[in-house]
Amino acid sequence: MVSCTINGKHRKINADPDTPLLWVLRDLVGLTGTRFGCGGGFCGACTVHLDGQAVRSCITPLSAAQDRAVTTIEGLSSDGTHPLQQAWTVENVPQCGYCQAGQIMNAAAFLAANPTPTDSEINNAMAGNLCRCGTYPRIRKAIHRAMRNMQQRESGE
Amino acid sequence: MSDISQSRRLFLKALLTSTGGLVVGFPAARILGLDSKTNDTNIALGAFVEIGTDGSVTIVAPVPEVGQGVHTALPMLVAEELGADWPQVRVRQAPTGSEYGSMGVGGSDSIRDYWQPLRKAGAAARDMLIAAAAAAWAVSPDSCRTENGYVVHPASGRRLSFSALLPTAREMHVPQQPKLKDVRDYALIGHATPNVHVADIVTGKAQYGMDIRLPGMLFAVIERCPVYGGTLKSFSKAEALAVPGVVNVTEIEPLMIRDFSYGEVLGGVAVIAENTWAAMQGREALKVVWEDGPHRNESSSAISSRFKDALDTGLSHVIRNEGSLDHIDIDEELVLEYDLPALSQSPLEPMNFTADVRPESCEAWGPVQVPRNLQALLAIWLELPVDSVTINTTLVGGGFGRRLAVDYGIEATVLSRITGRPIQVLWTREDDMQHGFYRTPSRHRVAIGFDKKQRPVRWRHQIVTHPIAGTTSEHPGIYEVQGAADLPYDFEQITVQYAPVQTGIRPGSWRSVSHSFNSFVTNCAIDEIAAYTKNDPYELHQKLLGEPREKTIILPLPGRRGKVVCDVARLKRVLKLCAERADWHRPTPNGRGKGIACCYYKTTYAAHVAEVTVTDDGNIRVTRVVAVLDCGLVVNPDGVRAQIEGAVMDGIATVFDLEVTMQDGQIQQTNFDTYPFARLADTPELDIYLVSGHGSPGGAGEPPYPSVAPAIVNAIYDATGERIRKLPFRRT
Repeated sequence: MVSCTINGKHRKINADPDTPLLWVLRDLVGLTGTRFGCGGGFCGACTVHLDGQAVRSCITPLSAAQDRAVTTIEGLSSDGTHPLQQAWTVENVPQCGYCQAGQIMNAAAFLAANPTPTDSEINNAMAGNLCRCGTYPRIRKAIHRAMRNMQQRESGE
Repeated sequence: MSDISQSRRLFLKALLTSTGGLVVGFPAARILGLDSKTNDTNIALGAFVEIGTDGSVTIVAPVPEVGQGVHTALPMLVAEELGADWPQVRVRQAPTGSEYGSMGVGGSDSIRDYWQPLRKAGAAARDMLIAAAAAAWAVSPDSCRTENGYVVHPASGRRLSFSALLPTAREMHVPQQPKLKDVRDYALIGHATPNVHVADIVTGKAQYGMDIRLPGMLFAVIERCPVYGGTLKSFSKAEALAVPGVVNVTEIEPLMIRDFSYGEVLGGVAVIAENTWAAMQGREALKVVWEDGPHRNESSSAISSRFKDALDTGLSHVIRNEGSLDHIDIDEELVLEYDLPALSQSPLEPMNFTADVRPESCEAWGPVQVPRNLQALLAIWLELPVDSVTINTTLVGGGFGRRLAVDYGIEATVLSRITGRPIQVLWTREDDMQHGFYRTPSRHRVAIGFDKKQRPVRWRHQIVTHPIAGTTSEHPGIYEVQGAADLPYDFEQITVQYAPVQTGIRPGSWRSVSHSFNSFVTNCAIDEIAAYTKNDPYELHQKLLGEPREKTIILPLPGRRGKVVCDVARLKRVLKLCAERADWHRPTPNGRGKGIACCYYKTTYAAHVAEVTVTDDGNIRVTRVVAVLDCGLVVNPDGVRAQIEGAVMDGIATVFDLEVTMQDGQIQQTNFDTYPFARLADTPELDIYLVSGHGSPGGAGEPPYPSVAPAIVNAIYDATGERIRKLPFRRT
C-alpha cells in the first residue's frame, strides 16, 4: 500500500510498489492525461511532478511516491490557467498534441526552480522531451512567453 | 447478401488501387446527407453540421486529425459558408460512414478533396436556415444572410439564431447545388486559426486511443517474432499466467486479409490482462520459441550490396525515357551514387486499438489514418455487413504514414473475438520500432552527361528500392519513382530506371513516400552539377527549369501517377522568393554555408535554403532555414506554417540522426536512444513565407519536407567542401 497525494487528493494505492507510476496513474487511478511514448525515459511524454520535481513516470516506481505529492497535467491548474498552459494556447503550439502534456509538465517544474533561464538552460532542461511533429520552435516561444507572464505576476503587475 | 458482396467488392477495389487505400471520389449529393439525424439535443443539417438546441454548432470532421491540422482547416470550410460563430464551434470526428467520403489521410489530399464538398455542406445548411428565417419573416431568402450563428435580414435589422430556426430549418429541402461565397468575402478561410483541440491537449483532457475505457475491457500486448516473417514454434503459458492480473495467453496467427499488405498481422503470442502493466509483465515471463524464417540472415549491408548489384543488372523498369541526343556528343560524364537508409515513422503515440466484437456487430476505437480501410477489412474477416462495423477514430498522436497500415486494429479485433471481451491492444515503443512498415532503403545512381560546352544534356537516374507494391506487382515502381520520374528540368535526354529488390525490411509509406529519397537525390545531384560546371546552384535550378509553363509528364504507371503536371512558373517562383529572402547571393563567411533545394508534390511547390555553421568543436549546426511554400489558396496559414516548421525538424533529423538497420534478420533500433529524432536544441532560426495562392487549396503535410534535407546537405558542402551521398551524416 503506497500513501501519497495525487493532484492534492490523498490516496492509498494498493499495487505492487514496483509498478511504474505511469501505469498506476493511467490504469488504476484513471488519470489518462499522462502519456506513454517509450517506456524507457527517453521521450518525456510521461512527465509528472513528485514534490514539484519533474520525473519520468514510466521509469519511476510507485514506491517513489510514498508520502509525496504527485502532480499530473490534470492537476497543474484547476482550469487550464497555468501560465504555460496559457502560453501554449496563445502560441498555438500543438500539432498532434501527444507530447505536449509532458512538455508542459517538464517546463513547469523547470521554470518553478529557475524562472529566468538562458536559452542554453532551456535547451538542456527540455532535451528529454521529444516532439515528433517538431513543434519545438513554438515550444521555445511559449516558454519565453510564460516566463514573461510569470515574472509579471511575481512583480505584481 | 448481394449488398454485402457489392460493398465488399467496392472497398476491395479501393484498397487495391491506392497507396494506403484512399478511396478517390465520392458522390457529392451524399455528402450533403439526405436525412437529418437527430438525438435529443443535436439536430443534423446534412452529414457535417449539427446544431444544438442550446445554440451550439458542431461540425463533423470527416478525416482523422494526425497533427496535420485538418480538424481545424476542414471545419473552417463548413463554418465559412454556414456563417457560424467560429469561437463557439465544436468539432467532432466522424465515425465511419460513406456519407463522409474516403475519410483517409495520407497523401496530403484532404484539403483538396474536401474543399468543394465541405463548402457545399456548409452552404446547404446555411440555405436551409435562411429558408426557415425567410419564411418566418415573409421575405425573400436572397435578402437574408448568415453571420456568427444568426440569420440576419439587413433591411429590417431582424435576426434569428440558428437554434431558434432549427425546428423549421430541418424540414427544409436540402439544396444540392448551393451557391458558394466569393473568396473576397471570406471571414475565416485564409485567416490564422488556432488548433481546435488545444484546450484539451494542454489540460490532458484530449482523448487518444489508449485512453478509451469500456466496461469489462482487458489489455493486451503481443510478443512477435524478432525476425520478420518468422513463425511461432512453441510457447509456454504457465509463467505468464502466473503473473497477477494476467487472465489469458493465446496465440494470434499471422493474417493478411485479401492480400492487403497494409493490414498484415505478424502474429505471435498475446498476453491479456486486467491492466496494461500486468500484460507487459506477463509478456516478460512468456517463454516462446520461434522459427526465424527466410529473412533470418538479412542485414542492411547485404541489402545495400544487393541494391548495388541491381543498379548494374536489375534495372528492368524504364519509367521515363524522353528526348534524344542527336547531334550531341557526350564529352564528360558525372556519375553519382547515393545510399539512403530505411526509416521508421515513429509517431509518438505507439500503435494501439480497442475493439469490441459482438455476434452481429463490431465497434472499435483508436488512431488510424484510414478508418474505412480498417472497417472494410474487419467486415470481411468478421463476415459482417460493412455498416455493422464502426470505427471511431480518436485524436491521432502522429501518423507519418505508419497508420496507413491497420494491422494493430485487426489484432485488437481478433483478440476481442477470441476472448469475447473488449480488448485494447498496445504496442510498446520497442514493438513499434521493431515491427514496422518502414521507408525502404534505397540506392541511386545519377549519371549526367555534358556536351563540349559543359552543358548538362543527359540525365539518367537509376533507383533501387524494396517496393511498397511488392516485387511481383505489375507496376512495382508505382510508389517508388515520384520525385524522380516526374523531374521537371530540361535535359536533352532524361531516363529514369527502376529495379525492385526484395528485402527483409517490410516497406511502408513514410512522409512524402518516394519524394523523401528521390527529391533528396535530384536536388543533391543538381547541386553537384553546379559545382562541377562552376555555376551558382540557384541559377542552375532556374536555368534547368526553363521557361515558365505547365509541363505534363506522362509515365507508364496506372491512374493519376501516369500523368504528372508541374506548373514550372510556380516552382521557379518559390525558388526565387526563397533565394531572395535568404539573401542567396551574399557571400557566406568561412565556417558557414548555404544550400538550396526545391520540390513539387502534387499541386504544392516548395523551396528551402538552409544555412549551416561549423562549430568550434567541428560539429555542424543548422542555424537558419528559409522555407517558401505555394500550396495554392491557404485555408489556415498558421496550420500551414506549423507543418513547415515541423518538416524542418524532420529534415534535420533525417540528415544527422535517423536510420533503421537490420542485422541477422532483426531491426537493430529499439527505442529513442537508438533512433533519436530532433530536439529543442536543434531548432534553427526559421523564416517562413507562404505564397498567396488563388484557386483551390493544395496540401501542406508532406510537401514542405522533401527539400529540407538536400538543402542542408548542399549547405554542408558549401561550408566544408564535403559531399554527402549517404545518410545519416553523423555529426561528431
